[in-house]
Amino acid sequence: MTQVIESDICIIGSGITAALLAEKLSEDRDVSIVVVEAGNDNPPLAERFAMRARYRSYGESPWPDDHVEGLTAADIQSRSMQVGGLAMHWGGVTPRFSPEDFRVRSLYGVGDDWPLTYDDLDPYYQEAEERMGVAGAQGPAELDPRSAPNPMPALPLDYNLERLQTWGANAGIPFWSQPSAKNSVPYRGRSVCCRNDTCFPICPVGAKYSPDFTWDALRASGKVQLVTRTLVRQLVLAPGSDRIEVAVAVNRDAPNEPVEFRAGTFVVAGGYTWSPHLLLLSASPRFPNGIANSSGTVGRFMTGHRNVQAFIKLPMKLYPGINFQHSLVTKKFMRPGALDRYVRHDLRVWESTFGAEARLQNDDGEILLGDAVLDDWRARTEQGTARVRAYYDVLPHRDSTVTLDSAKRTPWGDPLPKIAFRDSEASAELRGHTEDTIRALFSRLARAGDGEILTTSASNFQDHPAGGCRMGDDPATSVCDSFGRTHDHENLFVVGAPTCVTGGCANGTLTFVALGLRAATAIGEG
Amino acid sequence: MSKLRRRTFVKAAAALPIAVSAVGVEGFARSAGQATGPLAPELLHAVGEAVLPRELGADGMVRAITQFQRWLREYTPGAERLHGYGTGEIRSTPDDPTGRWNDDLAALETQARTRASAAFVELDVAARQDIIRAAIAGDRLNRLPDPVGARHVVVGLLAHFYRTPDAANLCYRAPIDPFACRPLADAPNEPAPRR
Repeated sequence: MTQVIESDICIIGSGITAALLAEKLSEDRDVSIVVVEAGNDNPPLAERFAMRARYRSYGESPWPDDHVEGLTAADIQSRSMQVGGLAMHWGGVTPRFSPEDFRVRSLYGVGDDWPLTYDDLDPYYQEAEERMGVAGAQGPAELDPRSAPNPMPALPLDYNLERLQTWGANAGIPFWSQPSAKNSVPYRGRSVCCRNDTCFPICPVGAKYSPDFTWDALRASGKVQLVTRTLVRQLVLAPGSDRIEVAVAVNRDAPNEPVEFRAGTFVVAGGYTWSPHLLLLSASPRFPNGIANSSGTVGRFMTGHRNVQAFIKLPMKLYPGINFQHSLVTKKFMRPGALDRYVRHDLRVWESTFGAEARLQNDDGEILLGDAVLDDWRARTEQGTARVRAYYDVLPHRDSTVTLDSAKRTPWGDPLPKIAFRDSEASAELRGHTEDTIRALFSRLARAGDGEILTTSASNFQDHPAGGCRMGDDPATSVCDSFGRTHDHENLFVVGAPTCVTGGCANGTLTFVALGLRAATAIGEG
Repeated sequence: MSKLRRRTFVKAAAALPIAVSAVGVEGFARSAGQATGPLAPELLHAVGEAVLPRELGADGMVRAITQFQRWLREYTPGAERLHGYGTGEIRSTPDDPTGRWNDDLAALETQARTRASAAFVELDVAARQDIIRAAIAGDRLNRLPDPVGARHVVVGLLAHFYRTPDAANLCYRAPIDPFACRPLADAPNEPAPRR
């Protein structure tokens, strides 16, 4: 017998965008909300010290079984699929995109503009920062525009970062404390960061925001019904209509008993892979290429950013371990002004132990034991090491895709997703120039501190992936509008990462959430 | 001793001095104030004396070895490991190294008897280090591995110790206490030098 669960709004996926969207909807609308999550619930806060201890000692996952067996794809960024999603073990870093990220075509003649501006999103950035609790410094106004202060004072720069900030200033680069969803003061009933430095993958004290806090509060208040271990496999249209009527799902604990979610409005919040995957799986005679896909752009324009990083030895005494995961940031290179050739990136600096860890063999190949290990280690820590890293945006090709892989199936028989990122022609042509420009900057930084570059590397994979259901004003070239409402189905929304036009050059989570909160103003209205 | 395979236990115990074998490995360890655990304690202590820094002092050395024994006793093979960003692969912790590490200890004892006609524990530190150097000479040692991934017990012990906050504090002669809960407001302060 089919189980039917009805609501005004059905949200598919329970990651960070879904959590804060559901919270806002529960406040703004007198509606019933059901959230469907394929993964498991997560352990309570009280268990996280013990889970962290096992992680620290043995590398064990502090979130075991945070994935669904059989739901994966080659080159997927993470298997994480649980209540709270990947943000259960995010690092809590919350930079905003810069105004230029939304207008790269207009300003630089590359890529595509977004159908909204930074100013349109600014209030929702602020709301996202307030809902999750962000501690941040105000950077120079010309580099770090915002209409209201950060909700919490910045995490203090530790002894190491203060010295590295001075080094950056000597190179003409203003750095400030990286904004983070970590409490610098008690916030919304959660405690203050105590620098125990496992923000990624687990904060044992609840100082870092994670979506479980929101879900726990919403469930306790009875405002939201969260259905776990249930995978939505298909969205089905109402007969003779373009409205979505049903989300058909499988209960992993009772796979032979179908579940149907019926709602007035559906919100797909499954992230960059599983959102387009669900739309593609939902093909019907009327929409043979998938739901919301009359433009043929579902699963296209997958985007993100790559990075170039270096470790720089500096003649200054540092003490690695005061606060490993906190960093300096600058947006100087995200807001470069006029350019002969396009290159934009962020820049961050961390303390590091690179090249100065304990070892048992010195550069001459001699084996070190006893006091010799400590002597060798101490000698190599007389100077400090900085890790510098720049994310640069990769403008997506139309054929940067998530498609259905008919050769590989889920345990329930559906094709798995197949991911294939591809740079646009412009971005591919600019890659060498971009990476050379960043390396030259690293050299300049090293010289400014009388330092030495130990090593540099450039990533091949795209971090903080997004896209696949890009937003736009033109229904012929996009899946949804700037509020996430799909052009083809007035009661179907897509929110968060999949709707991004480009991946920007900074972590995307805050932007994904801000877009979701903006979408909430249109979801369920009237 | 629960993880100690009988074959390995017999091999290790046989290599110990007669007086030790007579009272049993754990009994001797307790009487000597040494750390008990899945690895032969007297031999492990003798290894620790040879490879850990003297600045630790006797108490610090026992603490380092005790922590290593406890770490090994509580190890769980086949547990799901953290899957980081950029990969969909789910990996598990490897096999329990206790058996092969006890074999390593027994082999050190055998080498001591072959080279010096004496028990390993009776050798001075320099002689023990010579034997250990020969045992780990083929390993890649310019970076310490995860302890559980160490081929040889000596590398396992050192990899474990040098990942601890105690080791960082010792190296920097300052109470950095990495990964401990510490007041946020203290972060800007230079860690006070400690002698």
